[in-house]
Amino acid sequence: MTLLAAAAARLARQDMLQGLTGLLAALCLVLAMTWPGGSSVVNDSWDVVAPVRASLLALAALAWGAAVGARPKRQELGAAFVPTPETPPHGTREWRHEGAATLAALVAMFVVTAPFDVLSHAASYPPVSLGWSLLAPLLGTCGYFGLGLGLGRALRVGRLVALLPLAVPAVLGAAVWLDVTLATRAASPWFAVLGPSPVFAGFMLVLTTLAAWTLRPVREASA
Amino acid sequence: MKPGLRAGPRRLALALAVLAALSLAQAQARVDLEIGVGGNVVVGAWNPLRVVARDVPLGSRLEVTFDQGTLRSGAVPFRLELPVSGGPGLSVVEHSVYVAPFASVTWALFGDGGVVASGSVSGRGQDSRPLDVVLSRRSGNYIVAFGPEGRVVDVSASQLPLEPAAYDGVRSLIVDGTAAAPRLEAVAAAAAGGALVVIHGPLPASHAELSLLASADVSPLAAGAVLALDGGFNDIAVAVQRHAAVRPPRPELVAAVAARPFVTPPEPLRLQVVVAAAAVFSLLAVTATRLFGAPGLASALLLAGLLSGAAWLYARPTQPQMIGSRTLALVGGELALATRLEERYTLPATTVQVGRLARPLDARPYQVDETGLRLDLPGWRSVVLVMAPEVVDSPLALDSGSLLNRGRSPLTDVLVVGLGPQPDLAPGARAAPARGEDGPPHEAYAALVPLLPAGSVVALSDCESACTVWLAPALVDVEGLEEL
Repeated sequence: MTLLAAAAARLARQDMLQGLTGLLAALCLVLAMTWPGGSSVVNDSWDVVAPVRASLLALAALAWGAAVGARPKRQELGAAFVPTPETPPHGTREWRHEGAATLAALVAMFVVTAPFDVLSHAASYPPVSLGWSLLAPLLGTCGYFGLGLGLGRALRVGRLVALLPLAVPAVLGAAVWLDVTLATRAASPWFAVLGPSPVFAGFMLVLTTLAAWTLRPVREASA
Repeated sequence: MKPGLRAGPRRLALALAVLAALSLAQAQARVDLEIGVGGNVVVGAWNPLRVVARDVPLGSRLEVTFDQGTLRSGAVPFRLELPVSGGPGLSVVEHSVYVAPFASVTWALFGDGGVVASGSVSGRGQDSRPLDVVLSRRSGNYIVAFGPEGRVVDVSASQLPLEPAAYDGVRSLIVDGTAAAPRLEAVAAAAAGGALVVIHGPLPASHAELSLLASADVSPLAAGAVLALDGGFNDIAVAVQRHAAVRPPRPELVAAVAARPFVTPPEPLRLQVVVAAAAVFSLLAVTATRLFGAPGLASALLLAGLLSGAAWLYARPTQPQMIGSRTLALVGGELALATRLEERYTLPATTVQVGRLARPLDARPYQVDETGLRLDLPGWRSVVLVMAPEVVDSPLALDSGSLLNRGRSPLTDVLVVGLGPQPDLAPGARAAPARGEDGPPHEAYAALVPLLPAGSVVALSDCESACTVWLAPALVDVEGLEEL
């Protein structure tokens, strides 16, 4: 199975399909609310569309990354438990494949929502280049997926998986708080997209590398 | 020991101390800054600025900050930076500066890494009344004649600036020959800059060259005029006040020209089109991904790429910055005082730079130095810049009762206030003014017409690139034509 097919299969599952639909609907709504209508000609739609897109993509990546990372290990499930293909135990080959397919599906979501960014950027003439406007959400998506993997695993190890629905938005909120407190663009995708930030890029690249290393295909030892 | 031997060294020491003190006093820097003609600032007008510095360090720099803010707006600084050559002896810097109503003016001269001199001007003493500049030993008589409403200023001939823009706030320049003769260029600049130059009585031989400008009647010269008049001091005051009463006020003319925007910002794509395209694309992407698996996802990704390219092509305005301009030229005789207005509309945030003497029409922070004006402008905003007025040749004239085009460009949309539209004037063509059919005036000068006295002639030229509005106030005797 190719990565494209795996991503398509993952994206076609209800959770991600609803996520994609919700993301596109939210962007349509934001575009309709910020695009100039009537006699107004001032177009500053990018100022809202780009941060909203980057933040929603990061939130989605963090949530699905945490869900993948929080999967129990095979020995935690008990010998009698037979996992479905959608819920492979942590650390197995299927789990790595599932993680890679989820990340590929998130990247596909990034590409599918790119026209909203390009359209608002073209019409708004923001002070940020189109390259960074596209790169920052991609880095944020991959980086936050890696962060999600770590977050999910940490909660599983700490037996706090029940807190996962709270932890995901809390992490994103903490990133915003950190940037506001330090007056920087290091962690929050909302602020990062508004101006080139090497710190954010570096931070996200490290998290992406960790995610790629975690999901690397490994040959399992034969029983 | 004899007393004389003790007194000798003391005297020597005293003399040395005096010499040292004198040399120190000589080396001490002294800076005088003067804004306005004779140090009299006219608010809401271009004023001459003169800095005389003595013994300041080489390569010094003058910084003047005008705080144009109010209690409501907060500080709105206009910063002027000028180089001062410095070194031993005198350094003189002259410049024209637009002085808007201000809260305070502070200045400092920097040299050798520190402040050499500094000072301030309080905003409480500012006055927007135009000046009546007198070159006379009998200035007291003029002060009495003009009364409390006038703002009579007694200056010496050397204090008169040579730039027409510097006379923006001068109503009249009166020369009666009792003081040192002014330079002909200064008097001509005053008339061209909008002042009424009054030659009062017969002038001595030292003032002979002024007779080149003087005539028995009022001789218009660009925005001003020259008047030779015999009579009492009261007659002079009456003539000045009468002349000022019939001239349309220039600040209002400039504001009227700027009343309509010079630039039309680009029309964005229609909201309905954008929302419909976004919704259809979203539906297609979700459906293709759900129903067709990998080929469906590949199609959605390809469609997203194509749509991004199309959005970039069709939604992006072609120019990030648009510039529109219009010039108002006040015609008098063979010359005109041209004030160029330039509107800059920027889509991305930018720093506007203009390499000439200019000011923004409205109060906003900006900076001027020897290279010109700099002003920060946020995205999707415009600013109207008003250039300092300059003297140009006028193509519009009244010759033997006919309107004449002496220029190289056709004069179009000619209008005589009180008579109506006139035929266009090709280069070299002439036409006698006649009553025309009333119609709406051209939008370039429509806002000007209510401010103009009867007989004023308005015409346009070069409207393909940047319109010039030629305006000759009260050029045609409309009542005389009606009688004929």
